[in-house]
Amino acid sequence: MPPIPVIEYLAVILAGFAAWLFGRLRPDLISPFGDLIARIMHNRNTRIAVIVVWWWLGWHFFTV
Amino acid sequence: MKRLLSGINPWLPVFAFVTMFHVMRGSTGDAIIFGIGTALLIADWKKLFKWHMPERPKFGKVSVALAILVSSSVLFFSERGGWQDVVLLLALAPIALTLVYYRDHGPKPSSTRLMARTKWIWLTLALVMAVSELFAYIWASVFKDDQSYPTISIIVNPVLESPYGRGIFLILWMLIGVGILQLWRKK
Repeated sequence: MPPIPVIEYLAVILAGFAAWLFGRLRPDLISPFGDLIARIMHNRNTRIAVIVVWWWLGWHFFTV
Repeated sequence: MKRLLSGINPWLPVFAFVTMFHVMRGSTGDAIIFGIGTALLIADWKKLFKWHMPERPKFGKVSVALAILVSSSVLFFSERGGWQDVVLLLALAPIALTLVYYRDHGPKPSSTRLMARTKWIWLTLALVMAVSELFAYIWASVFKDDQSYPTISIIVNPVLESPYGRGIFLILWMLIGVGILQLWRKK
């Protein structure tokens, strides 16, 4: 049996995939992920925060 | 106090917490990055930047694809953690910030029940992931056992040592970047 944190990570990834798929198949129940991104990226402060997190992921995994 | 915190973005306390967390665990580089992020958020929130707020920059698909190709080639073919990677990532930081630092257009879209539900679903997933990793880090430190309580880095690091694993992660990371920057979104 895989370690508990691995099960948790996989569960979140699977749930995220399900939410993404649901957004595409049943947009009346969950908004498509692209619409959510467009909505939250309307605000400049949020755009800055999201891009810092994205850049940090690259920095963390490629240079450290 | 209420006046001081008026208009605060919810990301700011999150960034401040992450900065403090990295300070406490002695990860100087990460603390500096999130510290700069926190400072940028405060500066933008308090409108400390006095310069002209530009319009949203527009890029063609070809130029974006070319930038992705060049960046991916550097990250893929260079040694992981080499100076080429550091230079590229440092060059990408101001470019990425420039791409998101533009004037907000139009009124803030009203939040429908559907969008609120969607936000809560994704927020819950993000929180579960963050808390899972936080506890994995804590238990791994307490029990000195990062095999039973692996953080995401512990799992991903061996994968990134292989060129194929690095290539897959690279594509994912680049696509996420293009997606959140909405460089190819039609509307």
